Amino acid sequence: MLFQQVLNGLTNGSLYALMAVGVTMVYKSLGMLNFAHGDVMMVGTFITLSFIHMGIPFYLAALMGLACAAVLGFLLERIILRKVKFSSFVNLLIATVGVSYVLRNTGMVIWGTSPQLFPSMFPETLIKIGSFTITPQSIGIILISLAIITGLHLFFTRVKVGKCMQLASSDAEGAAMMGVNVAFMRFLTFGISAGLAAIAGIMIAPLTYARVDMSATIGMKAFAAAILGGIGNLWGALLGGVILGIVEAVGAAYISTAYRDAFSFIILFIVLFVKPTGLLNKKIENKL
Amino acid sequence: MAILELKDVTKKFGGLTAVDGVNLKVEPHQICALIGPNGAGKTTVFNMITGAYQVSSGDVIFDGESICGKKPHQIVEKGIARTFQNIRLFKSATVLDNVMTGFHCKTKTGMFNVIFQPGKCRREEEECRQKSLEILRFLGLEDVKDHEAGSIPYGHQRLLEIGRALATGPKLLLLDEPAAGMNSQEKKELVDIIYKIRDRYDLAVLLVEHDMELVMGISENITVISFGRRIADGTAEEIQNNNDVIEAYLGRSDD
Amino acid sequence: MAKINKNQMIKILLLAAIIILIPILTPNMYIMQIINMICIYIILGTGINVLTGFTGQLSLGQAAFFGIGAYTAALMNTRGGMQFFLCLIGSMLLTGIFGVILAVPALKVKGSYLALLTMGFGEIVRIVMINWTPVTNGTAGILGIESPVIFGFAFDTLKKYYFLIMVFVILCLLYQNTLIRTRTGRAFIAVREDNEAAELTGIDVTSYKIKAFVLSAVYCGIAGCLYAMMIKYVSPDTFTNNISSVILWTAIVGGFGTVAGPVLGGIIMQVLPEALRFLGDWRLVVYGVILLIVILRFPGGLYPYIQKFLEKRKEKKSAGAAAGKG
Repeated sequence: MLFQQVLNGLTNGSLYALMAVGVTMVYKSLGMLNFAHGDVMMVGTFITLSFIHMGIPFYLAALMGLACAAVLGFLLERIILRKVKFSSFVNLLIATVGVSYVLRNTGMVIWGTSPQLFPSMFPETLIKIGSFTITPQSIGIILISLAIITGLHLFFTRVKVGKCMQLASSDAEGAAMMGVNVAFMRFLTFGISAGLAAIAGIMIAPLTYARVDMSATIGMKAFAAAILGGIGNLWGALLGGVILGIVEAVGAAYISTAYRDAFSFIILFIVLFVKPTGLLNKKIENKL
Repeated sequence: MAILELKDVTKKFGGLTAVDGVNLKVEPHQICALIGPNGAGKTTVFNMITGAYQVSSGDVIFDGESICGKKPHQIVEKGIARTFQNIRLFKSATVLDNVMTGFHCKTKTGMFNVIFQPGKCRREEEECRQKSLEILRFLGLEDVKDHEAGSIPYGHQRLLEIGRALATGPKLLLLDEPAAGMNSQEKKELVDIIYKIRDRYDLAVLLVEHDMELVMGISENITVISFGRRIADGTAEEIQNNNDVIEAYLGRSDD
Repeated sequence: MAKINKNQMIKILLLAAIIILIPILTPNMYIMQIINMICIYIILGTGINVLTGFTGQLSLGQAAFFGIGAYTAALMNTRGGMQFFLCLIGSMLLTGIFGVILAVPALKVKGSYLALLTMGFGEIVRIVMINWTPVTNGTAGILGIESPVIFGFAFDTLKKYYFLIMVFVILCLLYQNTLIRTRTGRAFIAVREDNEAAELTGIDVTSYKIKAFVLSAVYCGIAGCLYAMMIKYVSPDTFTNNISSVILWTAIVGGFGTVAGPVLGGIIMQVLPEALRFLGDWRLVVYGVILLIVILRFPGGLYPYIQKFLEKRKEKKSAGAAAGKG
């Protein structure tokens, strides 16, 4: 029973981790949380769904949805966030909240407020191992998330563009002096982050239905996961996501299903209170 | 009796000892200086006096009472005020409001008095305003009282910071590099002001400053620290002829 | 408070006349309801202004306090049979307590962490509202809240109720206006400008941050109580994250850190979505876009810009008059 819950938690957790990685990337380059992250995920998911309804094959639709989300990320950076970059922190934050509001309401107009079925890319058959069962979906989600995060890690440490992105977000001035196009790197960061969100959305929607307000809870859990693990840290995001997923699943099973969503926020409260820098970060975060 | 006394004060950051057993005394009404090469630990000493850092070992006695472990705002209430090396005013508030904010620990009215004792509140407000204006007049800042603090010239901002510190009614004023960024004329004026403040408000002054001419001219007692240790203590003349001090500043002559 | 001169007297009388005329001239209940909502949002905006505008502590969880205030009043009234003033005091007390509860973890963080923390708080409160069915009646909400009766006078229509809300709007604004000009207000601003310098000027930063949280929560409590007794129904749907954003915008669009800002903001934030009704489903999208443009174009809110504009015109006028004389 417990093992089963942990496994379920792991599935959701790896999705939170995927979202959290995007949050963390943007945080590093922007110096703050992008409160529209969850809504970008929602938009990517629904665009995919629309393509599927048009009769486009699943994988192609997913790819197009992902591309649309990435474009949305680019636009967000170019049209709005770049404009407020030099004004105050509060304005920047409010701008992302505003974008979130606009996206969510646009979603409601186009796709309605009722939950919609979302096809899964995995077979439905259950795999039984001993006394517990596992769906191919869970295995698929965990493996894909792990693969993506590992791939990103390699991208940031081995590939030149990745290294430049890393440098541009951790030390913009230094990067500029070394000839890195900082603005372009930030642009890329937003696109990749949005693309990751779309992938997470496409994988999560078969589990929870596609809902326009999915951004609210899942987006916030992504923030919680990113902060829990230590913001700016890929492995931290993974760790944070997994911990949140497991706590949630176990809490829902043993304490109360109704308060399932509250557990992750309570954990967030505790972490911010005890160790605001997160589990894997040591240095004190001075950024606003 | 000394107004401020540091007894074997030590500060460790992790494994690093930033300040190592420093002793220091400031007598009432005295102008003292704390000098030393860059990174000697002067600002750390200031931060320990004002309570921003906890003392690792040793004791800080102010006015006959240990102030170790007290919170910064409590120490301000006891009578230690400071200014900052890089000016830290409340930039978008007016000049007058900056000084009035300084009167915080000398006044009492709170959120409820506003409703239940409006008269008392108004009287205290008016009194606070008059006293603040007096300080501004004394510092020659009365003309700019309604300007935003961040908008007045640099030299004025330094004075305003001193004004805000004076408003807290200190017995000891800590000045962290008050002459930084000033030209020689402004420095002269600063020296005059420091004397005037000392006499008028009857307080002791402890300053950290890099400008040796200013330090030697104004200080009655100078403490020199290097690498966190006190290496000399005495009058300007004694310090100038002290071999350890010369070594600390110029490096050993024999290597 | 300076002595009131003749000019100010005229202004005050004029304002009073406008306030009294509003409900008389209002043609229907639909518009009256909007006006009452504006008033409630002015109180909410004033509340967040203390916290974010003056003390510099961002909050995206104000809807939680608003909701706690509304539910407290609703429960005290429907279950306890208590009258308006008791409910109001209950709402203020409970929101104040929750203000402290949120302030303690909030002391440790700032910036977007603080925003997230307050957002999480809002979400937890909403989850509790939905799930603590024995008390809150779950998603169905609480029905049958009575209209306030004060000294035998029942505020049972929207127009009558308007005067009751207006009293609180005026009291809240007066209090805010007075408070920020006193010692407490200066301490708030000092905390906003520079935590460390404030502490070293003798201000107990921790205690003032808590005070700001509590004060802001209590404003929301008042608004919540007034809201519950006006609509006569509360449900978790009213107190979502979206509302928290709207509350924050109310203060931001009007002008952060100014007393008049939330008044302007309250009017804009409530009138705009109604004025955009002709857009049908798209109105909230357009609403969001307009707000976004305002934030990008007028950082710091509209009120300071209007103030500057008026001052310039005044200067031009007086300059013109002087030139004319010469």
